[in-house]
Amino acid sequence: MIGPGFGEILAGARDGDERAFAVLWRDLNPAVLRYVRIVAPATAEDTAAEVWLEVCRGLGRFRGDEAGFRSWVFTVARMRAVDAARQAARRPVRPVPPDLLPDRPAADDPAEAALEAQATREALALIAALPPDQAEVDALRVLAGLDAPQVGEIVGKRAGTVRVLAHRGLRRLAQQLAERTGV
Amino acid sequence: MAERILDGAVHEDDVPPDYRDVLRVLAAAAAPVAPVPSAEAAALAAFLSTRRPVDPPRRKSVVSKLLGAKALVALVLGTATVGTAAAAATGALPDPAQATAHRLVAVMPDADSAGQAADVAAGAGDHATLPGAAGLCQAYASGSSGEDGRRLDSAGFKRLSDAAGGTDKIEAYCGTVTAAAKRAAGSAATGQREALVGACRAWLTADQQSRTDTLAKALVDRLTTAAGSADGIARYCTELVGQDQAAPAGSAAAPSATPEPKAPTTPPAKGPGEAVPSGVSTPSHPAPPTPRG
Repeated sequence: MIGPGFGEILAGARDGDERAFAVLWRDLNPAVLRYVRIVAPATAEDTAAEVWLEVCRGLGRFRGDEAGFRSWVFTVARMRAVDAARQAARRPVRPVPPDLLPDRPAADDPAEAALEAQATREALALIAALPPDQAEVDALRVLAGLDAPQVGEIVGKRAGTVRVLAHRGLRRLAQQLAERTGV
Repeated sequence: MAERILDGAVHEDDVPPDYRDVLRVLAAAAAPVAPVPSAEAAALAAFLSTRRPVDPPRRKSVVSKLLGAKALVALVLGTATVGTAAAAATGALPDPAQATAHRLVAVMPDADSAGQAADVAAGAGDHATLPGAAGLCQAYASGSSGEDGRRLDSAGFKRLSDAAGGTDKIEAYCGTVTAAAKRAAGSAATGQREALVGACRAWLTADQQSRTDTLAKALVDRLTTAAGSADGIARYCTELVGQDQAAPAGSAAAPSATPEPKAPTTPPAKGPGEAVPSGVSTPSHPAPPTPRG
């Protein structure tokens, strides 16, 4: 969250000041990336980059305060993530025999590790395993810090529906965690 | 309680045991992240690639390019949406803030270009071979009613009869031409009105700063002329947009509803334990109505 300086930061970014844009990016990209990981994991980094490109192009048109900006960014994120998920479903990836794979950075690639601690990755995976409409509202409430009416605007549902879905998601998480630990 | 868990506003001790793990999962999901310089650099590069510097002294020449023949024909033939006029003329999409301004300026023909538009339209019709047909036909019509000074000279008469395919066909030919010209003038007028409505919408949705900074000066000048004064723009635009929406009489009194949400000045974004008024005005939200205008 940026706080009282948001208006100036936004104006700076609009004017082309990349340091101002960096503030916006640093503030929201972690949440955007994680949200996209939950909804469309296959291409999370690429999709997040597309989100920011669209945000950059639309900066001049945006009117509003910080909460409004966050709402808008996640609206874009949702659209891109839904598109990406749809495309991934249409083009199933065939597993390549391991000996044909080029040397790829391991799961503990430094950037990856820096970005996502183990606990975070596991948490995201758990949320991603929920039914999609529960997963996405929990993700938007928790990662994006948006309230139920704002989430409703983004996903096209009423605030009451958002609350029901979100609570169901939490209950399901609780059940799954209980099953795992054998409680 | 679930709401407070989702808000991050509750302590582990205050939730039932089976929700404590949920709390930890959510906290991990939202945990702070270490900076990744390479990712940031890539994002900044992308940002810079979307910025196009706008050169204010050149704005006039861009405008005159946009009012070029192609855009005018497209407008007059009713084939241009607001966007295609500018895109057709420049062949590119300018930076978003300028795009809106340029588009709106592009589709606002000057009064005297309506005549050009009529000619172009007439020329673009079936009898497309004779430029200035509308003028010649007008002269022909005046001539036959016997008025001096506007009679068609012999060269003009010849051009007209050639285009019509014979002196006996001039009447029919001119009938088509004048009808097309009237349609063109009508649609130019409609186009002009639509352009003013569009300009008004842009002006009404822009905040004070943007009205001076972002909106094209030509657009604001045009609105000032239409409204009669800079101060009158607000009232003029409210009425015009209100008519355009065929809004009920009562809402014309208030500043016109804007298509984009105008958020109120910042309540702090959500932190632990804070109640959050929505930053985005939504119909379902219980927050007090946002101030408009």
